[in-house]
Formats: sequence, structure tokens, C-alpha cells
Amino acid sequence: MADILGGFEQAVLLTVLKLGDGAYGRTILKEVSICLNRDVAAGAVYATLDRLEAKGLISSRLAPGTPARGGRARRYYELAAAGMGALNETKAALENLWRHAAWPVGGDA
Amino acid sequence: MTLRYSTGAGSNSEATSKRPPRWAESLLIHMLKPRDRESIPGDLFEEYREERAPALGRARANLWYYRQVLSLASYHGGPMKRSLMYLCFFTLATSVCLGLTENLLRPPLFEVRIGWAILLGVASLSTILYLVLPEYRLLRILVSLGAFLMLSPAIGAIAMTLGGEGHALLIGAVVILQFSLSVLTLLFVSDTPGSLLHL
Repeated sequence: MADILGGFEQAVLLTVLKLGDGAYGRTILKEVSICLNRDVAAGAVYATLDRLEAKGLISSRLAPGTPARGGRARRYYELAAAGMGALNETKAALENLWRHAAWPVGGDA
Repeated sequence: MTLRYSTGAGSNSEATSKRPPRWAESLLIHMLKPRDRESIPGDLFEEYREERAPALGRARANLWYYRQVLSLASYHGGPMKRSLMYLCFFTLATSVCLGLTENLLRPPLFEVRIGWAILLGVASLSTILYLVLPEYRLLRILVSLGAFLMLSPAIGAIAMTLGGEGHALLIGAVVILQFSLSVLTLLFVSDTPGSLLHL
């Protein structure tokens, strides 16, 4: 079984999955910030994308830039088959762990 | 001619207000890996222009941009890390020369100067090892711990030599604090998955 993905890695992978064809740096950053309900630094997101791509969990391609971004190219991300597998395995492993714990842990919050 | 000048100035000003500070943009581009030099600055440019500047105003949007550049500096060292390493090698060599010279000449308060030379050398060596060996977290912890253990007696010895004078103790305390913060930064602010503050 592969390593369980970290919380932030899961957030980024699930965001890439959710955004589909529109997943590029800016939209991923914005969506992750909304989902986690906090201001996420760009460096954290790009470093995670970098690492996930190095692991083969996502792939990327460059697309032409637009005037709105000073003509600079966009890098679009896509979930790879290995990324889907890692998400599935992580979810299964976490559910297995949680099965033996009552929620919320320690009684009512 | 006046009309042309006026129109040009207006559109130029408008264009400037809708783009991040050029120096910060240049800094960002230079510290990124070549593959990211278009896409990441483009994403931040787009966000700045479409969302941040209209919503926050120019000054606060600039602050947001600086924060993103700093966060990327922590994660995407690239050429900046190499420059830092060269600087550290220079400082290390300088501190060794200074330490030897002070020990030979023994001018007044030479212990303090040697202490500073040791501090510079140890800090530089730790930084170099951190930059060269980002994957070996345990080794980094051991090196940082060893450096700290070496440094503390050196500062203590200097303070004792000077009869525990207030200013020496103060400098020692400040230096130890500064060094501890540097060690914490080296250990916890990293682009490796092992870093404790890694998200």
C-alpha cells in the first residue's frame, strides 16, 4: 500500500479533481483557500503541486497566456491515474482508522 | 502634443496601478526554476490585477504580493539558494581568517572578536549543510544541535573572560537568541516533506 497522503496534498489533489479543465495555479490557490477557510500562501500550493508532479500523481501542460496575465503562459494541472489511486487508498486507510473511534473524539465538542 | 502627453501619462499610470511592483516581480522571476518563470508570475499577476488590487487597493495588494513572493522564496529557492551558498562559503572563509588573525595578534577584547568569528563560521556552515543536504533532516538537526552546543560555551567563556560585564552578557544573549531563531528557521522552513511546518 502506498503512503497515506498528507492533509494538504489531499486538499490540492481533490481541488485539481474538482476544477477539471480549469485547474491552474491561480484557481487551485483560490479554491484551496476557500475549502480550508484560510488564506493559503502561494508557495505552499506551488511546492505541493511540484512535489505531486514529481511523484507522478498529477501531470501538467502549458497553455498560451492572455493579456489579463501579461501574456504569460498558464500551467494547467490534471490528476494522473496514480493520483486517483493514491486518493482512493488514502480515503480507505483513513476510514479504516476512524472506524474504531467515536466522533467527535473525547465526547461532544 | 500636450494631449498626446496627457493621454500617455494617464494610461501609463493606470497600467502601473494594475500591476505588481516591478522589482518584486523581477525578484520572483529570478528565484524561480526556469519551468515556472512564466506560469507562477502570470498567476500572481492575474490574481493581483483581477482580484486583489480592485478589492484591497494598491498598497494592500502590494503587501499581499510581497507575502506571496516571500512564501515562494521559502519553497522555490533555485538560484537564490545557490547565491546564498556562495555567500556562506565566503563568510565561512572570512571567519576562519579572522579567527586565526585575532588569535595571533591578540588585540584588546580579542576573545569577543573570536567569538563573533566562530558564530559567523558556525552559522554559515549550518546554512551550507542545510542548503546542500535538504533531504537529510536528522543530520541537519544533529549539525544544528552540535553548532549550538559549540557556540554556547564560547559565548559563556567570553562573558567569563570579561568578568560578566553587562554588555558582553547582553550581546551573548542576543546572539544565542538570534542563532536559535536561525536554527529554527533552518529546521522548520523548508521545501522538503520532512519539515515540521510543511503543509
